[in-house]
Order: sequence, then structure tokens, then C-alpha cells
Amino acid sequence: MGSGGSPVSCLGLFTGYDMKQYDRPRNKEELFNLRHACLRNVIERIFGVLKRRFRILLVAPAFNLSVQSRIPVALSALHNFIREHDTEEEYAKLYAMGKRNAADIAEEDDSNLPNANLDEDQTSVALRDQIAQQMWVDYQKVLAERGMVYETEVELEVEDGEHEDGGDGDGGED
Amino acid sequence: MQQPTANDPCAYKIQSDTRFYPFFKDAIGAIDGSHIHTAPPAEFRDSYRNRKGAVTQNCLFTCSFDMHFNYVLTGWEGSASDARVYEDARANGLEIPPGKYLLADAGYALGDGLLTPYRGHRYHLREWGRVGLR
Repeated sequence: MGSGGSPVSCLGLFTGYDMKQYDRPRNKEELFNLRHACLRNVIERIFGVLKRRFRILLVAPAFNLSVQSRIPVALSALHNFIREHDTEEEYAKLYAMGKRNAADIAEEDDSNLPNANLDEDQTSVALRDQIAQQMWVDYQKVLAERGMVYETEVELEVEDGEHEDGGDGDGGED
Repeated sequence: MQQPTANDPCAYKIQSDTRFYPFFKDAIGAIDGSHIHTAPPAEFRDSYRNRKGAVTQNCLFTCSFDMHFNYVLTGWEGSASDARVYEDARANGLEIPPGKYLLADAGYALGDGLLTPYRGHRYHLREWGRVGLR
């Protein structure tokens, strides 16, 4: 314990951390990756649940290989069975149980693997770009509604711009 | 264990969240490999060693957004890459209806039913974080 525990230094440290942690996505790629990771996270959760619930998965049991390879299959099926009979409350508990620590995740993080051999098919590249672009446009809209400032790296293309110059508010039709 | 079909409705987790819907409306689940410790006969041990040095089998799982497993393929040596195991899974019963996809990490190739993140971009982001304070 040092003597530097003044509120000011705590605050300084904390905001420094916050700024790093709470950066907002700056472009469509970052936004896409963020939401993609958020949704994909369910597989990390389910692994977390499986390995916490069935400790046999953490050791190498002394059965022959074909039995060893059937253990994860059997336990996944058992997991599904339990899931079927879960109450919402139990499910929430289960979900929390699946939260993995940073070390677990780093252990299986493949994002830095060299992937020169992974070829991407062009249709899917286009699909991903299209999804990311739609997301980005939508995100800018929501940010603007909330009155939040944003910085853009991507030029926003205004979709069928609804220009109602000046004349809004007094619609005297009929 | 059931796999999703082309006619399944969009998952509640996606449909109920404007961050995900309609963008990921065709996502039917998530996929990843998990290394599970294994004890092969000594003569095979080296091929079961993964890139972290542990002796494992590389198991591939897919799951739905409500935490059910939909597909499992086990038995691959730990030295096999996720992409290689995926290839085998596609040849052995892993079905992804046309126009649908699974969410995968950057260890997989984009395409053939998989939607992967952009490589080389930052993470540790929040949608409503402060910005411009770097």
C-alpha cells in the first residue's frame, strides 16, 4: 500500500482506464466488430457453463480415444436437456456462471492468428460490408437523436435525403 | 441435438434488440472450437499438442442464441486448426441453410456460412462511450 491514495490520483487513474475502456466505435468496421462480438459471446458463455458444470472436461480421463471423443458430445446433449428444463431464474444463473475471465478468453483468442491461408469469398465480403454500413448509418442516427457528438472517419451517405427546407411544422394541406 | 432450419424464426435475442435487428436477422447461432484435454497413446501425443503446447482434442461446437448446442464435432487432434475442423464438419453433417450464417471469430474464413469480424480493428469499445478524449 503506497501513500498516494488521494482521491485525485484515484480519479486520475480511474478516468484514464475509463477512457480506454469506453471508447466509442469510430467507423463501421469497429461498430460491426463490437456488435458481432457481443452476439457471438453466447458461445463463450456456453463453453464457460459446460466446463464449470462438468469438471471431467478439465482433465484427460484415462479412457480410450474413442470414448474420450464422445464425452464432450454426451455432455453437450446433457446440457441441452438441462436447459430445456431450466426456469428463467436458473437460466439467468446459468448465464452468469458462463462468464469467463480474461485469461480463459485470451487462451482461446484467435484474433491474432496469421490468416494468410484464409480466403474470403467476395459475396460474403460484400454482405459484411453492407451489414456494417447499414449499422453505421443507423448508429449515427441514434447518436444524433441522443444529441451526442460523434467523429466520423467514414463520410455519411444520406439516404434519400428528406429535405424539408424551412417549411416544416405548418402543414396546411387538404 | 437439433440444427436450425431455413424456416426458423429470427432468434428473440436478435429480434428484441435494435443493435442487432435487422442487421443480424440471418444469424442462426455462433460457432467456435474449444480445446479439451485428452490422453492419447504415446505415439500420437505430438499430433495432439496444440499451439499452446497442451495435449488436447480440438472440438467444434455451434450453439443457438438461447444457449442450446446445435452441433458438436470432436476427436480432431489439438494441432488441427479451427478452419480445418470446420471443413470436416461441413462434410459431416453441419448444415447451414442458404442465406443464413453462423457468427465465427477471426480464426475462421469469411464465407461458406460463416460471418467473421473485420481483422485488424480495435476492440474494448462501448457504443455510448465518450469519444475524442484520446
